[in-house]
Amino acid sequence: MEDVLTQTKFDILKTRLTQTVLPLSEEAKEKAQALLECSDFPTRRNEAWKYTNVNGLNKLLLDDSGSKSTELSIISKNAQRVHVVNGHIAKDQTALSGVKTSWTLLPELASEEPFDALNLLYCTAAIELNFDDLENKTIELVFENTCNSVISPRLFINCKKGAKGTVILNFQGTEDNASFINVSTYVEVEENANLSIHKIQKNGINAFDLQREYVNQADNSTFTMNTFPLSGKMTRNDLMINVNGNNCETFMNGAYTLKGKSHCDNHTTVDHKVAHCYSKELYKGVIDDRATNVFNGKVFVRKDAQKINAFQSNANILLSDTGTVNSKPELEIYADDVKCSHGSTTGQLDEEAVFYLRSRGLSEKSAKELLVKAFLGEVLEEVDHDDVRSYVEEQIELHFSA
Amino acid sequence: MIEIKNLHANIEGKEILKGLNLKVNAGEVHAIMGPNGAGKSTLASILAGREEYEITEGEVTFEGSDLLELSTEERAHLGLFLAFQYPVEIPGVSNVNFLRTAINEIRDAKGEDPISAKDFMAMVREKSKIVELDSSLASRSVNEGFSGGEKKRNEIFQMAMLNPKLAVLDETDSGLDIDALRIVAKGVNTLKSADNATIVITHYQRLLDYIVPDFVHVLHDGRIVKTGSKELALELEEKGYDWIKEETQVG
Amino acid sequence: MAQYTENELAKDLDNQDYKFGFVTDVETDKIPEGLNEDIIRIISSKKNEPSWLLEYRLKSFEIWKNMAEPNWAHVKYNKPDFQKITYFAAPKQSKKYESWDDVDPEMKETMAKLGISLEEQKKLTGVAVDFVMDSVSVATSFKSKLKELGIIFCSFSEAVQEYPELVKEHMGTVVPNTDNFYAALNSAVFTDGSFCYIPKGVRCPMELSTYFRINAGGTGQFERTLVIADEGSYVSYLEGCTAPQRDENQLHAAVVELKAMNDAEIKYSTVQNWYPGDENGIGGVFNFVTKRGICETNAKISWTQVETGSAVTWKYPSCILKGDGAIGEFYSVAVTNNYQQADTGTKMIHLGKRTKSTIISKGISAGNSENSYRGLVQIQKNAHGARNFSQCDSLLMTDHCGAHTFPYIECKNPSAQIEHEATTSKIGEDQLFYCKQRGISEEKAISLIVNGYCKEVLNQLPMEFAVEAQKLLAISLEGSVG
Repeated sequence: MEDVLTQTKFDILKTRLTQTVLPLSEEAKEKAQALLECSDFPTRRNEAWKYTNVNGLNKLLLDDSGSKSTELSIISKNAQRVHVVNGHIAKDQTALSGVKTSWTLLPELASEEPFDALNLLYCTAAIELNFDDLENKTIELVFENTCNSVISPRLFINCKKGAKGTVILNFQGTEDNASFINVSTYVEVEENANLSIHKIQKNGINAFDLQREYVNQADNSTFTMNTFPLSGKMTRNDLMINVNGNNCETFMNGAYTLKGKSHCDNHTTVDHKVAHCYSKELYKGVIDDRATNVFNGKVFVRKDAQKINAFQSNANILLSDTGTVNSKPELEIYADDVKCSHGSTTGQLDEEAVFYLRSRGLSEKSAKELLVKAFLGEVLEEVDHDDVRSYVEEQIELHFSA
Repeated sequence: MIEIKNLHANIEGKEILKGLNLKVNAGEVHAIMGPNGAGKSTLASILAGREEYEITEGEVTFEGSDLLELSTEERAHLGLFLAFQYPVEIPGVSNVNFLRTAINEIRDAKGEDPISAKDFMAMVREKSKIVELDSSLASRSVNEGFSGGEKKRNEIFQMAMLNPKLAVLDETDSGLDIDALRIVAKGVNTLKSADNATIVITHYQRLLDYIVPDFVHVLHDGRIVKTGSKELALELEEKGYDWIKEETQVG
Repeated sequence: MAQYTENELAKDLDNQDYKFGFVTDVETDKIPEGLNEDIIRIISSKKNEPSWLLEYRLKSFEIWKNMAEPNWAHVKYNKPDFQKITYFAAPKQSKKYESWDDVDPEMKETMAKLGISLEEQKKLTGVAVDFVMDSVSVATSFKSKLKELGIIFCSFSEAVQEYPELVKEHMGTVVPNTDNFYAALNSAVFTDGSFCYIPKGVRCPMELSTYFRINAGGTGQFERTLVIADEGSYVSYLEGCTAPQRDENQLHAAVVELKAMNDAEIKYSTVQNWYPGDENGIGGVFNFVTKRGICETNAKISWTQVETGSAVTWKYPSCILKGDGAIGEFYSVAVTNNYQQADTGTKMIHLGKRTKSTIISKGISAGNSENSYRGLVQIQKNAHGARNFSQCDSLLMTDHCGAHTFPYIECKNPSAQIEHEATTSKIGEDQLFYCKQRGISEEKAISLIVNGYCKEVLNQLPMEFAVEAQKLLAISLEGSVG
């Protein structure tokens, strides 16, 4: 009786998930379970989820139905690749240096986030990537989602002292895929290291994709996170960067193209805990049909974190009468010798510019397309990886020709 | 008026002035010339009391007071004026409001009553003519949206309003076209009297065609290495600074 | 040259303390502390209210009992004990004032100390003043002259007696008693306030002004203001607030409702200087206020506020841009020093076509204070061609304070243009040095620079108010540089 009364939406979801086969200590398991027991799906009342509702998760079938053999795009031919098929590490892969996929014990839960606890308890793959030299090799993780299943990878990315590395997180779903993708990524950027992560979310139109990145930056490090939510029913990204060291640089870029009934929510927090750091954030997107975009960027400057320069910008173009844009750029500042600014704009395409292009012979459609591409181009210019940039450009092209 | 003796100064551990000596009497115009990095602007900043500089040795007497012991505003109260190389913009604060505040603070320091609005406005009208400053500039925010030439003319206008004993013009000629240069120089010359003195800091001789100095000093490597009449400026213009550098190295 | 206030500033700079911290010694008629239905009945009967109003109060009380105090604002304080507050305190008076001469001399002195000598103002500025001490409006000047134009400007209680239909029709239509915790509380226990009605096509020839003052100890002030500008009319309304210096926290929970009918314009200016507490954060007023206006077609509401007082401020003067072509404006300066906390901003709700809103917010944080801008710009589906521009700047004076910006932008119409910009920085060292080189002391240089920084907002205030606001800024920031 009591059970029925207190059943949460997590309880319902859990009944359809399979506990991880990966090694977890009893303690880690209990901690994660305890967190889930006292949690429910977030509601509007929860400030961080004010505009995003995940109740639809419980309507997903998650029955592993769907085709199993479709070939999906890879992004960088030159990268070392790890394939994760429907959540599980593909067999028969050649072992790569710096990549660890077998575990004697998984690390404990480090956050207070119930979806992170869920990720741990129902983990389908755990991968650790290590960069320890200046070679700047690129490792691409290709997540091929062809079945309607639970994809619950747990990623650990370490860029060691003075090393340089690039990671491509490539999520590819078949067009009608309806998976529950739930990813936790832990990132350590050590002293003088330079790490770039490019994340492509090309999910099936019925997929739910909830991702969290927890990043720590040490002295003199540089970290770049480029996020490209391209498709999916529900995409939620939580990027949390703790800048723990002095003289760090942090770059966050995002470009999104939303249509249909898709809902995309990018939450970012950069927490400047110490002095002399620089952070820059640029998120731009185009919203069409009945799609909704949410942006919430937070810049935190702690007491005594002097000489911080932090810039944040979010720009949206709303193309339809039925789309919605919610933007909340926030500054929370406790030190005085800082320069912080943010800007947010929402509008339509410049009618004058459309007219000008049409007067030069372009069709209205291609005029608009050209302007949208130019609008998003500002973000792509920030991407220093050619393969990633050209892939995203191609996808934007496809988005409009479809 | 002012006497600088063996002045040594550092910024962030780097020594810029290395034993500078200079004496300026009332009624005199001194030009300080020198190559980039010689310490010209440092000298101006130290005289005005910028706190980034550390004085390691030496003394400066101004009107009988130990200048280095005084705060920036106390120096201004005594009649020291710096025409800034890069005048600062202060949004929302009108030029007249700014100047009236300054004048009244200086008067207050001298134990005088504040200036009446009527006298003040009469003074604004009179002094703005000296630098041919459009009266609309007086009501605009301090230096905000001013062109380079307007900023420099505004500095001289402020100098006219505050009527200092010693004016230090820090690269006032930089960024000025020939007309603006003439106006600025005319302003400085008009304000010249037997009771005040001027130190003109410049890189080029050009300004000295208009403001004729009684003495020309060459500042090099933190010291005054040569002093002469206005002809020295012409010689520098012609030959550059290299011969001075060589001469001092030999010396 | 009337904007020069330096001389006056100099005098005020000597005055280190909160200069409105005196207590006026007038006899007060207080009811027992605490809140229950009986108390509400007492308030209502003391004011000889019609039964519909008592019912409204009791209903609001029911609603309030089921509500929780909001906790989303970026402020921390000990929640008031609502049973420890006296909900009605009125200066004792045997009869209504027939003329200015009848007003208690002590009260007149209070007003003089506040710099609002009615007599003087009558002569000099033509401002009509309504004075609300503790909970009751004690004097309204200029009434007869306004009456000729059909303008009603009186205390809220008087309006309830004299113009019950107007009050009944409009009260609670902009800020319903279900709106939020403090609005519900106010609706249950409000004691007085101001009421203003401008008839069709009338341009009110003078500024209307209300001064609010909390005098008695242990009391809360819960006033209501209702301003109705009928079609094509115009009114500029001023509001000033002070309170004595007390070690306890006093609660001020007001409701202000504005209605701008078609083509009407309301300009509402506030200089809020409730007692902010001492330099250790002891005492001070909790200022939890709900202010909102509705703009019908082509109407305009402009909120201007200079907030220097209160220990905790929670206030979002808002505009519902209901009619096509309606315009909403919000100009704000919020200064916090010592342990003050302010969470303030606005909501601009765009419903009509071609509606426009402008938000200019200047926050200045000093001491150990916390200063947050929180604003919502919402463009609804039918608000074709809506425009918003927001600029929110924060200035930090020390490294112990906080400056925060929390803008919410929600857009459901593709033809809308929304621009939001914000900056946070410290006061410019170069600007300070430049001023000092011209002989200006640091304190005065700061006051000069800060006033310049706030100029866009101060310019929106009527002249007399702007002068007062500039003085307040200087006083509030004394000794604030870290």
